[in-house]
Amino acid sequence: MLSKKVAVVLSSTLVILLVLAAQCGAPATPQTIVEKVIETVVVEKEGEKVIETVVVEKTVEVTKVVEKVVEVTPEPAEPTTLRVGLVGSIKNLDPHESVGLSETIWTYIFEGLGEVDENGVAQPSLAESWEYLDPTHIQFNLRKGVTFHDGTPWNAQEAVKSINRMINPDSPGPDVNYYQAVTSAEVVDDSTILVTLSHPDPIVLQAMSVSFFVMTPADRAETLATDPVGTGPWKFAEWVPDQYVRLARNDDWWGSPKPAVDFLEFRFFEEETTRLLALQAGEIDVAFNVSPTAVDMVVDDPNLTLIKQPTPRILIIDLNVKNPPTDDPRVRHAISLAIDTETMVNEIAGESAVPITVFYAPFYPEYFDAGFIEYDPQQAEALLEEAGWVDTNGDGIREKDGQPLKLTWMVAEARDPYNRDMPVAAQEMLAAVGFDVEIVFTEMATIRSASLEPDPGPYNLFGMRGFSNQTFDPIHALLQFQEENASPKTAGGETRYTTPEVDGWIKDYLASTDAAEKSELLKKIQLKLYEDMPAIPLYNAARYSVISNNVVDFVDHPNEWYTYRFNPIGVSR
Amino acid sequence: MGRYLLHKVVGILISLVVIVSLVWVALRLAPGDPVIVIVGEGTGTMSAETIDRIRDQYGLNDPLLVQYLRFMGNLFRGDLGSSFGNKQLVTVNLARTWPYTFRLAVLATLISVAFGVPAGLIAATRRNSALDNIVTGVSLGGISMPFFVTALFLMYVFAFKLRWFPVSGAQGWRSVVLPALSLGIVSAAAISRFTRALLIEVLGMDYIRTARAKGLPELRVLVRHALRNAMIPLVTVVGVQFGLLMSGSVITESVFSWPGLGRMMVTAILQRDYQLVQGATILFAATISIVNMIVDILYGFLDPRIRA
Repeated sequence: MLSKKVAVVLSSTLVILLVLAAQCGAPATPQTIVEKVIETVVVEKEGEKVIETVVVEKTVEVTKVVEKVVEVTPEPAEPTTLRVGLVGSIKNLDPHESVGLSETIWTYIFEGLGEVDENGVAQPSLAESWEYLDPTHIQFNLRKGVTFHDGTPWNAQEAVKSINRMINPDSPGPDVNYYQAVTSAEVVDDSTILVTLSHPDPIVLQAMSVSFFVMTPADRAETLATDPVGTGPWKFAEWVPDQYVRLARNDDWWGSPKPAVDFLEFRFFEEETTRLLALQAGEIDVAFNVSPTAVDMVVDDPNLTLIKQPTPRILIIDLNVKNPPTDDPRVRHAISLAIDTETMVNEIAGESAVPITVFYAPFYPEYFDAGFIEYDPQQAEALLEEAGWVDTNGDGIREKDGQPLKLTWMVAEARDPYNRDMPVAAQEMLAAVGFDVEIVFTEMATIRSASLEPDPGPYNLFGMRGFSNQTFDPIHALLQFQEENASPKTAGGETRYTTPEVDGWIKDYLASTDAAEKSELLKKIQLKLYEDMPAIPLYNAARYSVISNNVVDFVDHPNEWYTYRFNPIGVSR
Repeated sequence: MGRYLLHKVVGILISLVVIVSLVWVALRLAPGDPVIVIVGEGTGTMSAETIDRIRDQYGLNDPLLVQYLRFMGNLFRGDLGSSFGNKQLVTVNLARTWPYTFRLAVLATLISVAFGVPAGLIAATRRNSALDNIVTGVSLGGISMPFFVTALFLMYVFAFKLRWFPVSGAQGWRSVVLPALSLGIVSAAAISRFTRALLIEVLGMDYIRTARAKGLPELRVLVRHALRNAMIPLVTVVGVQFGLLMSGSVITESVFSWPGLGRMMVTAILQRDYQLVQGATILFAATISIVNMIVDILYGFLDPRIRA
């Protein structure tokens, strides 16, 4: 058969293609460049490591050798870059318009009047000091001689313009409610401003020190999204969308410690697996905020270090108190009793999460057991019977007036690592006491729209709802129970729950400066919440980072998104 | 030919208007809007009044018909608007991502043809032999393997273990190889199966028997007579594959962090970035229409009967 010939021709083509492919991908062969001046410089290039061997040939012309050596020494060292891998991508670098992953990056470019330290206390930054003139007026004394990265000076006038931009209710900034007490700011002199509050607010200094309360140049407001200019230790250098953002060290920065590397590069990955493989292959140095479910993949790698950082972030389930059947407090209590929070969190999240019994992390001194964690399916069934829900047709689902006991649960799946596993586990536990739970996995846009729909709203349960708590105040996650924050008046108050008591206690708490009184109020609020059951606290999350062993002096910060300045972090190659 | 082209172009323009209108409606039917997405990203709450005021600024509170007419009016003036996300012009966003997708699509198509056609040819000429079974088996595996498994496998072997190529990103020519291979292999499998089936059919034809009877060398019979006649359906399949690849391969782009259209589109949909999704849809539809038109024109060159 002649086809043999064909096969030979074709297979040889294949072989050639394969060889070509292999050639293309052949590793960089060690290059040896021999430069003959007077001394012989042998540079061996091997991957990322550069081994330089300088051999000085002894010749008669000694003077010339010295001359050459002098010429070699001032050659600038290879610029150092710390490469940080992030999962996801960003669209905007304007600190007043974007949070989340964008924040991880712009937090190095911008600075605020103060910054919250790892103990949750506001420390001076661009403001050198501040003082209360009276409970609603704070005077900020600004640092002198600070300039933006483009050279324009930052002063009281600029500071006031920035504050006005942030407190403007029309700004699409997502977190205006943090500093809702700030009503105005005015220039006193070139380096002093006066901030007026609508009411005394003991945590306003923390609120005015959160990562997004930062100073931006007023005349660049329109271009900050793609060309951010701030006063911070890092200058924006380059952004290749969906690939990387590169920041350069700001040598004119006033603060310390100065950045230890020349460039800080954030690379974007879409998949956690890819990011961790890139880390293992040495393409990045730090994988920040690593999904706890993927940590096992790198835990045995001797070249990597796993860092676990406790954070104040908590996750809760919101119960809609307006939409039947969850408008009945007995049904809501039955839900809480039917879910074995402790086992669920421990089994699914392992060491990366701690079950919680109130609406803040266990490391606060005000932490106590408000009762939410109790698991008692018999009691849950008894409550449902009492509320009139009985399984009449024997299908395992309870009915009342011909209506099945059906719950709609909306979950934003991508937000946190266990947003699929935990609702599915809870669904089974709820089914065991006679609920029919339909879980709707969706994204935040859909959920926020649902939260703006008029009462009763198209859902019974919403969550896993996360609270990152940048002010570090335990009240943070409870603010959604303030009257003005309940849906549908706002997006974000999904429980639709308000009572004058809780609302009043929250306002008292915000106005109080007495630690014992505040602690008492927190207790009262949460015991009342347990009684009314508009939400169930679930767990407090830890954050993982994986760093390569060539990273030195790594420091983390107990904030959800950003590490506490990359400044001192160096890298050895 | 000129009239034929004119006819085609008008048809393409009409279908573009229909497609983009459908997408426009579908986007508005999805719950949420760009303003809500910005709120959703925040950790706090935002009042319904504020949300309403911001919607006003973007014209999102106008009646839908007014919004639609405004959009179409701008479209006919060649104005696709700006992305809500990064505030850059939609055209700028598309111009940035398109070359990446194009590069990937071209290379993947080349790989799929270079491996798929010869493999199919071998299998067809050696029907039911061990070689045929191997080719058929491997290509069946290639088709059945999910994209991300192939991608991760290639990444693990060639990027992680052998370090020949970077794990991800798009810096330098090396980084395109693995994504292109992982796409190309899957299409190659499909193309080899298709080529095999076509050739087996063609090789049973009378004119092949005649050619053999004339005493032509087998290679010539295969290439001149069999392959050429199998070409038309094959070009269609390759064209369709290329058109699909040109609208961005979401999974491969995601796994390899390749900054192409597919990845951009997914983010844009999740962020309800209306303008960007609309702009990208027009680009996809136009690309597929144009690729189809080129395939039509190619027929003419391959088959004199169509040319006439």
